[in-house]
Amino acid sequence: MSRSKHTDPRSIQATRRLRAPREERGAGDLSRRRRLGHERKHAGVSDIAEAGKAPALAVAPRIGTQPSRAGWTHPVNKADVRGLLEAVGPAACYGLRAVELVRQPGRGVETVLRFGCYDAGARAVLLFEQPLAPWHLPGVLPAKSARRLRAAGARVTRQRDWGVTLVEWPEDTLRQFMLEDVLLHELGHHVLQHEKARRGRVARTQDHEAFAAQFAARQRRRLRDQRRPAR
Amino acid sequence: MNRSITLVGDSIENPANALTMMHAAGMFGSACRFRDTKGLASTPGAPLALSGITNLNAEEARALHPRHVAFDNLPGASEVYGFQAGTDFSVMVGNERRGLSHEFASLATDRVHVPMHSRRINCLNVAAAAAVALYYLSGPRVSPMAVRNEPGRRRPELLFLGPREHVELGSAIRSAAAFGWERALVEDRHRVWFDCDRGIRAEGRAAARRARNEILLVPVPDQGPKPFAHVTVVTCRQEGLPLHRANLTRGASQLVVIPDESEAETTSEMWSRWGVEVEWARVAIPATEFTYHYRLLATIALAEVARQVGRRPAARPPREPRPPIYDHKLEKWAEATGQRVSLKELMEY
Repeated sequence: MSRSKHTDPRSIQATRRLRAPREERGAGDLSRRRRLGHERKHAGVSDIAEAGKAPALAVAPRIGTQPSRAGWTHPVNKADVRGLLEAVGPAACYGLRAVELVRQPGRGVETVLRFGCYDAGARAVLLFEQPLAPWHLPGVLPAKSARRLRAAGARVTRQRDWGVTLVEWPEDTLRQFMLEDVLLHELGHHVLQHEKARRGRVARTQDHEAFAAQFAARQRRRLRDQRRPAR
Repeated sequence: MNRSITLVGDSIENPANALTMMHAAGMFGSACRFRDTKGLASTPGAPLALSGITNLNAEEARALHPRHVAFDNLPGASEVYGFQAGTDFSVMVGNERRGLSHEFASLATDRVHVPMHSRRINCLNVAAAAAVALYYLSGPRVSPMAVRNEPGRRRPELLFLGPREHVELGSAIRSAAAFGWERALVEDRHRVWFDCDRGIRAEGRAAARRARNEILLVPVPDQGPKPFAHVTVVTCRQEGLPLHRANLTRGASQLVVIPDESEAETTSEMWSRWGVEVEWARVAIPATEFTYHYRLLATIALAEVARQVGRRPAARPPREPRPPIYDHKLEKWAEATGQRVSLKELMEY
């Protein structure tokens, strides 16, 4: 295998390109960098992020906010989003143009509640506003959806007699859900899409969703491991 | 209407073309100036009328009028049909082979061209092009070129009737090919095209760009062609409908006749031998006295037929599939939005 920048692992490429997006391919002394890498490896440090030297995102995606409507709120703010992007690292953020906090589409008559979406054409993640807690959802929430919300920390009460569902979000569980479930899931879509470097469809929707769910679960585990105090 | 128009020729190298441009300008009551880099006046055998021309430089050209229309196939040029140039402007046409110089093209406030249909003949004779430009920029207000699915079915048959000059006919044939005709009838009573001297033949073919021009020229038989249902005679000497109001899109059942009216012999023509219904379409020339050139009138007529016949709509590039959007949402808020209640239960309640 050639020892060029082109064959660098994705995490190294992404870090370099976020730091200096216009840098020429030939710039920099590769031999010096490789020597430093060897020394770091001998010293027992295998990753830049683990050494606590992860650079801040030099070219961070734009984070925009559209004010929420009355009775709705954005559970996360710009700082939360920026913090998560930096924690996940350049490999997931490279190529992402924007993260937008936006209103729910439509005029409130839809029977679906959207959390987020990834627009492959715009390379942007949209995080939608959510109703103020507690949520009184008309109808009985399907068991699968209820399980998902419970796993995120919500208290879901399905009142079959009344035909309504009460969803309570204690403390900052809704914020955690939006960051560690929704945003990570959308970043998973971006990683797969951007890795193929195409605007069109790169995988079946089912496979795309599966990859995004797997990516979110892996990153969630990694972030929780980092937060856990070292023994 | 008071108009102030100047025809500017940039580096014209053929004295005959320069002289015809002066005549074209005279037809439309405009002045004619030249940027003379080729020594037009001093060319051996140049017409006497060219001896008085003075060289025009870019600064003088800029000062002539507030608006300068570059008439050339330049990038971003608008169609001449329907273009509103105002009443005070200059029309700049370029060298026969190289077109407008960069110096003059950069003067232009507007870029205009006449759309061509042929892939092999993509330009007109410079004097004929100047006449087309002056006709449409100073003459009638016409709509833009028509857009049709099958313009070829609207294209009428064409007859060049009694041309007297081989070079004039050659230029007219070149124009016909450029505007998309694949065949034309030639009534060659003065023997300037089919049975002529070798020198005349060579000059005529050169003017028609015959090496690239694939138009089929059909001599009219002595007994005349099969009569057409509609015959439209394009004239500048007789009364008739304005050319842009005549219907020139009747397809193969129509014959458009372009007679050479340099002499009065066409008045005695037996028009009924060409078709059943004969109408006259008049090219409106502002000047009452002008030097007649067959190629100028023929090219104006052909340009107008081409405008009415139109072109195919531009091909649309296939749309790219929309990039996917991946939604993350609760599947449904409700399994059932109400309860089923029987009438009996309701009555008991």
